[in-house]
Amino acid sequence: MNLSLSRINTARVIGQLVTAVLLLTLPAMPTIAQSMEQLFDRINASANTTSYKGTLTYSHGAHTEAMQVFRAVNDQGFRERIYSLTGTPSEIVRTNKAVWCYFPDRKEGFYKATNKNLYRISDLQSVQVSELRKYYSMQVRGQDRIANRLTKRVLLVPKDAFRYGHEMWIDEETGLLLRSDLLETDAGIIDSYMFVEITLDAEISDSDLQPSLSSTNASFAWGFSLPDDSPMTADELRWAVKSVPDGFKKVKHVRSTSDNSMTEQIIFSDNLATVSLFIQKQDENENGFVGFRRLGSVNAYGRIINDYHVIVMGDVPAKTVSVIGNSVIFKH
Amino acid sequence: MTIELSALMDGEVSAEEHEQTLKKLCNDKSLLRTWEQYHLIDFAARGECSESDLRAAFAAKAQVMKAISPEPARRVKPSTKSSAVAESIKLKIASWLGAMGLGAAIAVAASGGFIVYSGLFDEVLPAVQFQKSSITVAASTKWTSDGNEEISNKEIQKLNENLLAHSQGLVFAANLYAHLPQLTSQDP
Repeated sequence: MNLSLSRINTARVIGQLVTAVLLLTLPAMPTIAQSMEQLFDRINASANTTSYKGTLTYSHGAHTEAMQVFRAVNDQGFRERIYSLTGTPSEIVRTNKAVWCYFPDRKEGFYKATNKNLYRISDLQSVQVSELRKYYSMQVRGQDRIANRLTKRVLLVPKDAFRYGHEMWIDEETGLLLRSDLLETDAGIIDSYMFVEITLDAEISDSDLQPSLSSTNASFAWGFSLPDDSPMTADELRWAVKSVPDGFKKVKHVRSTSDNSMTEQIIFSDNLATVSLFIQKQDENENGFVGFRRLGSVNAYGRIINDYHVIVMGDVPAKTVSVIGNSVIFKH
Repeated sequence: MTIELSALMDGEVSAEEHEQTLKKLCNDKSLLRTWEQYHLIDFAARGECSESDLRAAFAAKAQVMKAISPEPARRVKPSTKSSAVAESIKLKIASWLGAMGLGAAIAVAASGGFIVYSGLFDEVLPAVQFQKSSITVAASTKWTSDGNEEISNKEIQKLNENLLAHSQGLVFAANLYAHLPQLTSQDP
């Protein structure tokens, strides 16, 4: 009994000492922002070291697609293979610097490579909760089970009419996103991604990551885009956008050539939603569309400026594409 | 010779023709380069040559390709068929796996965690306005106009081209977002 009391007293003393130390060091404790960064780092590190294989569904409208995913991560980066399980066969192989897509029904594929400098680091670092919180209200909605794993449900409600809402199911253990719904005020769920089964830290063989679809006959045509489609310099920029909805920032501005016509593409993002602006010389034999078009969650808006066809497109409400489209000006 | 080359690629030649065509290939550097271009991309995907080899080959031969290949560096031109939309959907899924899975979602996850840990960020949310119904947008594999006006095939083709370019941009952006720590550490 005396021994127990002695232990309790010792524990109290230690506790008081710890409290004193904590109080003394309080000014040096991490700020809210630092705590956030620490948490971000922990989850980010975890996500980038997790290999997995699983089956994913994507539901849009009345349709559901199923894909098999293999993702292997090592010190060099990652390699991923995504194979369609429904509809016409197709396959995507991706590393940290290149993407290969196989579409055998069309006997076509494309290869896209990039240099790390295509996206500036400052753009990447902009994925911060403090930024998102300016445009979305966030609410944790408890726990749920997805792919037989415990997840945390997070709801993002847009604070304006320029973006859709999101509900996400995040794996409690790893931070991986296991389900995500895109939400529209009037329509409810517009589309939904969900893992139906996933094996984390799975053993993934080399053959799991090899493309299984053949492309080595002459009739299979590869389109490709090489790293030289680098961002344009200020002098090369002939078009500008006067204003975009709050939160959207220019991520990329590139020029591409196809069939002797040139297209400028400017990509904007608020870190969740992405919008592309295309500017192309109007075809003499064709009247470019003017007004709104829609395909599922994608809205498009077209207008004509000085014989150029301006098209704005993205997974955003119609209001967003029209605001961006109507802000485009020709500089020189 | 193009026909012979095509037959060789398809494996539709006899042993004798195969040997003859290969000899011609070896003696005709232009044809050899065309042959290489057809295969290098796929070889790189299968790990049979490195990506850096592929890029070096492209960089060195870009000018030659323009001269010898009828369509040296064409972009994939989607048809008006729904396959182009299906293709874009596949790319969307890939982009979700990258950007949402490892980039933005991490930020959100961090936020969710932070609410739990700190208790400082609880917000008074407006009533959730979303109808928690089943998936509702039915015609999501066809382009529609706001005024129900007819959309020409040419217009659909152009929209699909842009949709594909948009999706390609997403899939690659996702790729890079997914690699945030590595990129950060490598950048000077």
